[in-house]
Amino acid sequence: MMHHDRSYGRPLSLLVAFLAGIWLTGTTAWAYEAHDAVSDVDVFRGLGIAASVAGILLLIFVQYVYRKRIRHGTYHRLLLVGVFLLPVTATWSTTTTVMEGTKMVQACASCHVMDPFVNDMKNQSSPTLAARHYRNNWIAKDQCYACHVTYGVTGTLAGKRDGFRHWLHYVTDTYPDPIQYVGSYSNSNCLSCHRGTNKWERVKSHQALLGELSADRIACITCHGPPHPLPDERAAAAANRTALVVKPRE
Amino acid sequence: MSHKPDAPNGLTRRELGRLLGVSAGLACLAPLTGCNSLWERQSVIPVDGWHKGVCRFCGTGCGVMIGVTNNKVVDVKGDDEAHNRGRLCIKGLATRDILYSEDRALYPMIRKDGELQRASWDEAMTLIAQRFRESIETHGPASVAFYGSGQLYTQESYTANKLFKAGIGTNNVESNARMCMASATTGYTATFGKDEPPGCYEDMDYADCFFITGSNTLECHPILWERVRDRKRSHPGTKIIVVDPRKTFTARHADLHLPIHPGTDVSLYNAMIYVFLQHNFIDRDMVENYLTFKDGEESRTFEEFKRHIAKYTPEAAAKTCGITPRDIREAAFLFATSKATMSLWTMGLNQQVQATHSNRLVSAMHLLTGHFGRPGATPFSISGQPNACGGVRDVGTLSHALPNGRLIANPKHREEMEDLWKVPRGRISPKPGYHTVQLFEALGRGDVKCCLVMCTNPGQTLPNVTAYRQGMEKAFLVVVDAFYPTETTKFADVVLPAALWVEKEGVTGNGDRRYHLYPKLVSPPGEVKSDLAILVELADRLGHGDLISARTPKDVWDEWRKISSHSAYNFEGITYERLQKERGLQWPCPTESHPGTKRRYLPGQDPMATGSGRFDFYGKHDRRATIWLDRQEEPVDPYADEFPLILNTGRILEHWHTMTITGSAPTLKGIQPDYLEIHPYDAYQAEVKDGDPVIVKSRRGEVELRARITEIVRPGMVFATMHSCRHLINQVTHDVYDPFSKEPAFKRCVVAVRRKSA
Amino acid sequence: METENPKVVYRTSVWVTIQLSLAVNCAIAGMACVLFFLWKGFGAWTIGVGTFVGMPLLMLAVLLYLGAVVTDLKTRGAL
Repeated sequence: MMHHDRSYGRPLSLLVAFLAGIWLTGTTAWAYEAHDAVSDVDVFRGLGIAASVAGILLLIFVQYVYRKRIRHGTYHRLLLVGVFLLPVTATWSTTTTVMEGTKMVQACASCHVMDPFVNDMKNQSSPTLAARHYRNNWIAKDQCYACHVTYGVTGTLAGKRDGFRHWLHYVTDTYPDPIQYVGSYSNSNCLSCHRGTNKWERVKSHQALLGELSADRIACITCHGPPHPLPDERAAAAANRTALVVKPRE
Repeated sequence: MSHKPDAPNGLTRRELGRLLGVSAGLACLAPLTGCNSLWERQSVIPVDGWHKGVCRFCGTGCGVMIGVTNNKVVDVKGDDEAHNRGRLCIKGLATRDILYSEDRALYPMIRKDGELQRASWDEAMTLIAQRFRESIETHGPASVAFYGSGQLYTQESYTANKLFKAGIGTNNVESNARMCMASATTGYTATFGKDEPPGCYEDMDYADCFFITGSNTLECHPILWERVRDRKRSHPGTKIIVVDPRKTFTARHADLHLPIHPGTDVSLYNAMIYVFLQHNFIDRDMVENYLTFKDGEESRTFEEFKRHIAKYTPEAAAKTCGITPRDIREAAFLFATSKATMSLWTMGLNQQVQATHSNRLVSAMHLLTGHFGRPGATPFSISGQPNACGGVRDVGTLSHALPNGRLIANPKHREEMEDLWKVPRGRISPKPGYHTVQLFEALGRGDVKCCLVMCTNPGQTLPNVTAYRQGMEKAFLVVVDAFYPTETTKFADVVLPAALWVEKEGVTGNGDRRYHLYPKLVSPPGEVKSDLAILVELADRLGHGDLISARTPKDVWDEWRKISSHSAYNFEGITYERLQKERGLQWPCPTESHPGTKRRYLPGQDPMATGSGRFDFYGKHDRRATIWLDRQEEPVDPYADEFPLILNTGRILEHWHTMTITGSAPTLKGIQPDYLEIHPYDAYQAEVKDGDPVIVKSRRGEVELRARITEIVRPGMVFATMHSCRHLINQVTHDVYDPFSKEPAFKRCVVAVRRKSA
Repeated sequence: METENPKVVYRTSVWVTIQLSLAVNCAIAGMACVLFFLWKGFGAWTIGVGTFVGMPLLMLAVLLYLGAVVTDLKTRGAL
């Protein structure tokens, strides 16, 4: 027993050290939003792929090929790696990839429902809030996420629920077209940057409305919107996918 | 997870199964249970149903979606499908609360022993009918008057107009729109022969140059301003020229700001035309085929017009206006050479002695340079009240006017209306009634004994108001308003409580000839009745019940739209059913299949333009628009040693008119408008510090305000808002008016400012 | 190091075996799903399969595994 323990202890500790090393590298990259060619999302994605491939192979071999030929203790220790350590690593990498990756504009743009929104945002002559924030570089990166922070790792549970619901509606094709925002948008997304600036503070109405704004009982975008093309403009843009520009209404 | 040591296996299995089953069940059932709060993002304000409507405030006519829960308006948001693209300003947002103000008038009141005391409807209406009848029988129909509002629904204004002009037989039918849009009316009519703008809001999406004159659009029409800004945001080359004596928020966004002295517009526009002529920025085809030139009643040639303009060199005008010749030349250059220029103006132009001149000169600039009739190229006057265009200008709720641009003074027009209203020929008095300032003078003289004031607050809004308050005191004054008290109810003999906004149904016409429907969504509070119901009852009690046969908003609208078909306004095709469906429709709209008209006087687009050329100015007999030879006049109220400053009045973003509505809205009431903007130099001279109480004094009266030292105003000029009832700036303003439109010149009078001694 | 009583022989229960085998299959399926997503990148279907199918499977696998280990240790009297 002791002999076998030792023979498995070494690779196991090596693996743990390896994973810890990757994890540390990962946190470093995370902390300093690196400008490297390889983003932290890529690192996590790679790690997830490695863990999944390793896990699948390990489990198939352990469970279905060598099950009878390996000792009971060995089997259990391999399962510890295959059913616990590697799945946990894969889960964690995938979560991070999803949480970090969905922040990127490309992730939003990957779904055609978002086309009118993303196209409008990148349209140099669109007057929408999204387009103006984008072209004036008011937000350096992850421009969609900056105003829709509910879906990140620090976002709300409701944000995750909405993501799941949207996905369900999408794959079952039960969403309204053009899509409509339901419920109250949280003004804190606007106020987190704008409140306290000179420009914001000197408008008397802002002070008068602060209570209502904080409670989301009125929306910043009512006066300053629309943030994105309106439903009928999006419908028109979607009908003519080749047209990037949302034209003024005739 | 607890466990029993004696049966670990089974328990684990059971517990695990239960856990999995319960969570899976919950996950699957959540959307089906109706617990949408768990499944979908919710609104902070729960709403039972959303209804399409229109904002209560200015003439922009923003579409709103009104959230109603349990017979109560609980939320208001912008309508994505309306021209405002889902936007609302802070006042529009406040419509959520306006119905539930503590200052609502809830029951009729009659003045007894000097006090307004609660009365029954029957008691109040009996008294009103008795006093009106007595007056009519003893002193003739001209001894009674109606003073309405650009906020009454079209059905209400129409019914009042018909009742007084064709029923009682007096043309003493006026409206507060006299103090707001009358000069735009005379300006358009002088140029095109027909009132109301030739263009539309959509032109803002195409203009490459905005000439904004006499309008603080950012604060007073914020949603239109956003549309202007959108154009500039998407086309950064778009130029914005702002003509305003103050460096308003609007002016701060301008590419070129011309801070002219109040009342010198005629010089500026003539000088701009001088530059057009000098550089030949003239549309020759327009001049040769579509324009005539007139000086008063006499015709002039284009050459004579040029000679007239020769006097207005930019150098001469610059001196009059207090700006530089280079600025005038640059403004003219930008105006003429853009692909499409749109002018926007409102009270700054309308409320001055030469208002009609200024209005028609702006139109003239467009016509001469050919910036007319193309998308983005149009002279466009913005409207201040939700229904000044529809209910007053179109209906003709003015003392000189009859419906659809007809005039009292024209016998043919009177006959047409007598036929349409099915009253005997000669029923409508040939004598125009008193215009607003005259009407309140007549009340003071005792020539008018009884006056019905509806939905407006002349006790605060009249210029030189102290003088006219005596008249209100003297006459039998019936005040119908949704709010109590107001500055006018102080003088009322009877106060009747009126329904507000979506407590009643009606149609309004906004600034771009668009008719909208306001649905009735909630029941009015207390004993409140709609203005239409009050007018109908008054008609019955005065014996004109047969004349006022249409008694519901829909019936009145049907009668009115059919009458419009006998004119160039023709909106017969704007049926109630279409209004319920559409986000407003723009007239002319002669048939139910007609989509409405965006731009007028264009054959092929305007159903009334039957000509075949580029334009058809069908309002004029010769089918040509008129350019007028207008001269800058000396100011009526000149500087004097004891009055060294010019007072200008205006508005702020957060309040509207006399604050009867916005003053009690929770989100707005904290914003104080009681201040006097004064330049640091003038403040230094008057030894006034920021925040000091100051007395503003004119030849007519004085008012106390707090000094706000700012460079928004030029040296020599002070500015106060027209909003507050605590400090009535109209005790100071001048009651001189434009001789054509009879619109008072609120924008200029000379004053002195001194620090209030402790 | 050897703390268990070597004389007592414990037979792994059927339930633990089933749990482990379930866990292994869930883990394989879960990791396959996750791999599909990570490999293909963002998309409606990949993210659905990867996060809404793969992730729960992986979590289930881990839970089953932990359950089996706990049960096993309890059977052995170690807990």
